[in-house]
Amino acid sequence: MQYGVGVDPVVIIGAILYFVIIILVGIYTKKLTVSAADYYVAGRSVGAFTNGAALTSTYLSPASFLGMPCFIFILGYPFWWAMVSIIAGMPLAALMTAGPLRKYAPVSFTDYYCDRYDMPKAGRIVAGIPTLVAGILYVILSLVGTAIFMVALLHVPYKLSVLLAAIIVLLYTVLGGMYATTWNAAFQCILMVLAAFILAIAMIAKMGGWSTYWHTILATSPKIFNVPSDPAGVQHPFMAMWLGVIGFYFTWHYGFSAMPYTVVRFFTAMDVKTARRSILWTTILGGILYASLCIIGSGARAIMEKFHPLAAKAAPIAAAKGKPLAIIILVLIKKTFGIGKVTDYAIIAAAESVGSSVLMAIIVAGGLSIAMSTVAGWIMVLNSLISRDWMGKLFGSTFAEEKPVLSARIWTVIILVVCGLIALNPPALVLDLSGWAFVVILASIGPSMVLGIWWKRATKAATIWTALLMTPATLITWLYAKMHFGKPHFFFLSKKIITPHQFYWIFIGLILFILISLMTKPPSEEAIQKYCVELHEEE
Amino acid sequence: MMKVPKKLIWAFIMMYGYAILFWIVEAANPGITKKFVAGAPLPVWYTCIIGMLVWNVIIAWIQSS
Repeated sequence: MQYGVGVDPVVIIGAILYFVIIILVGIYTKKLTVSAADYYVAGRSVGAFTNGAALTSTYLSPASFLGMPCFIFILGYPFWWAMVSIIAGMPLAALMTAGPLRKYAPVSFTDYYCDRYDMPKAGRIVAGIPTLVAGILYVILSLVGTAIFMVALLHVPYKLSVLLAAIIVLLYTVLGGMYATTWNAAFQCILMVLAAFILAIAMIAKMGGWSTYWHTILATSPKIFNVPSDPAGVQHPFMAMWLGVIGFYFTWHYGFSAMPYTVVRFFTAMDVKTARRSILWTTILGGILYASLCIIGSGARAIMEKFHPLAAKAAPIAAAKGKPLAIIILVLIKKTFGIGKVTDYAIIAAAESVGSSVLMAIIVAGGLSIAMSTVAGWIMVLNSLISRDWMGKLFGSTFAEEKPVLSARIWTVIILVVCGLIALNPPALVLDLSGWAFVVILASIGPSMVLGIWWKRATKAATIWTALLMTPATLITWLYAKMHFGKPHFFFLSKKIITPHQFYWIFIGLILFILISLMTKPPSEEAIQKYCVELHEEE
Repeated sequence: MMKVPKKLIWAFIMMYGYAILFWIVEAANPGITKKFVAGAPLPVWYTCIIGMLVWNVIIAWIQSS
């Protein structure tokens, strides 16, 4: 299994320390979790920094840590815009949704849809189905991400890694609910930001300093900084059109405002001001992480080709196949472990190229952190959706109503067992579908989330029809592009147009929502007063 | 008519103004992203992107104040 990079005891100690701390947090927070409000929204008592740090680690999935650095060295500088867009969406969310939703203070994500659009049962289904699908995909993806770190850096067998990840997340989410999830997520945020920052510094030092670093990158990949209008061409066809660059910008841009696993964190803040201040911290911490990932991603190829232990073995294969040496190194690593995708191993390979066991320990902790915090964040969304919203409010289960904490804990176990079983042998398509999961939520229930607060004419009919039409439309076009053209980033009717993850549906969903709202019966005066007037008033 | 907070309007203008300005400058000067400053050779454009992240922090601070 090994390819020559052994596991240093320092790395093992780092990982064990990390696991012990997050389990201890779970045990400690158990005594704080008395009521359903404690379990679902941490008693609405979380301060700005803790909430902001928890938001950062929950929102940024292992795709950020594992995939983004590789996408940067493959797609080049234009992909930086995708990274910047994610951070740029955060301040907008502060006023668009965070402040008003905290003032409204629901318990679960679907409460808002039920109350605002006067559909006590249908709202749970309309907002719940895309959330359930996206949540399951993300939990599986994040469990696989956690396992990849354990397999590649600790050499724990894959299935045991999935099992371990699921059990540890299970332990602290079941015990401490949102308290444990929040405190652990905040701790995990510090670890992952530190890990990326330290790795970026270590890579620059290894390559001979800031100036040499960037010159070496340019020498290794002459087109890495090219933009679509450059006469010399771009590094990758996906970035050959400005539509592709801007498309990647908008694919993830509004996620922070409307994705269920971030929105619920607005409910946990102490008050409106704390909710907004949380986002200031998220922007700072996320900004440091992504600025570091831009450095890491840009230099990953150069450092791997120069220093990675597999470079000598991969060189003749790369020469024979005419492919970049770094890609062949990643292929060899992926072949060794046999899981995930080639792109998942870039940050691991970059860290291995630096050759420091302390650094590897930090990377293990950072990687496990970003993956496990996303699992836990989504688990909290899913257990409140299924236990409280569906079993309790929709189907009238007395058990879910009378014993909410126990019911949520049972559903947490069920969700993690189901997702863990799928993650043991994850179909490739399931992992890919996480890109669709993002677009479907923004296109189907995003407009009703945001416009429900900011537009008096936003109607129930528009909410239902936008969700009904956008959910299949995004899935069918995404799947068609993936199956027919090989990648979901081509416009589904033409390979000549680059539309990352069929992002245009986000805007079509918005326009559709507005048009249907204008054509249908306006909401009640009471709903308008409550959501479009009172939620805007400063406290 | 709905009263949209001025802070939100300014956030949108600041955010997209900065991004659109970048895209226009990049489109008009495609080589700008790989230029190095003589004597202190750092990629100017990387500094500008970091500037965008700092810009976001400023906007987030205005929103939260």
